[in-house]
Amino acid sequence: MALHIFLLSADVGCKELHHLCRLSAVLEFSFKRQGSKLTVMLFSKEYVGYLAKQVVKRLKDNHFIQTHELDKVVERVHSSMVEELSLEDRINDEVRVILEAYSDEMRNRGANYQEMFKKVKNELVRKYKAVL
Amino acid sequence: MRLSREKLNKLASSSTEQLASMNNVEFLEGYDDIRQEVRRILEELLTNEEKLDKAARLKIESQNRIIPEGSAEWTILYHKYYNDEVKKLGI
Repeated sequence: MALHIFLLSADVGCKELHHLCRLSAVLEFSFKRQGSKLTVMLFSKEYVGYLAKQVVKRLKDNHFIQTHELDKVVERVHSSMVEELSLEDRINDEVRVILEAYSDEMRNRGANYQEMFKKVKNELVRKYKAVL
Repeated sequence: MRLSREKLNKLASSSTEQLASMNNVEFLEGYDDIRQEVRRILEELLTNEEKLDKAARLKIESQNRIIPEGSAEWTILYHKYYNDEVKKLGI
């Protein structure tokens, strides 16, 4: 799939810019990987924990749900929220892996990394029916 | 709010699904009513979350030198200041 997209969009751009874009993306990727245990894409894990706690507590207080294991319920809702909110990060990671596999070919054809990134990402969003 | 309406709906749906799948949770209202309530709560909380984001950005902007947004330093500072604001919520 990635190769197909690549062949469709292999327009020649400024090579220096391409290399800079690529370097920037690689650095960003490395940084995100190092910090991945601390953050979810938009919100910190701590803030998502706060969201989960507030949602469950308010549902219980307003008699929408009943539970005797509040902490366990909060934990599960927290995990579910982290999963949903980090979906875009996981897709971005997958795009980077795909583009890395075709990096030599992209370089030879002078393809624009950012454009390729956008196209492959859109394909994956469609494939997973993801809401970003 | 920093989430799109679609993403907010998705987050509310997945959270409600999660609650419905748990044996230790009893629904006292209908599934859709609970999903809508989850959405309403999230919308309220996430509207207030903008203040945390703005406060963290302001702290970075108030540094003596310019730190470009998106740089590694900016990202580290942003997470630090953002989490400082989160702690103020009483977590």
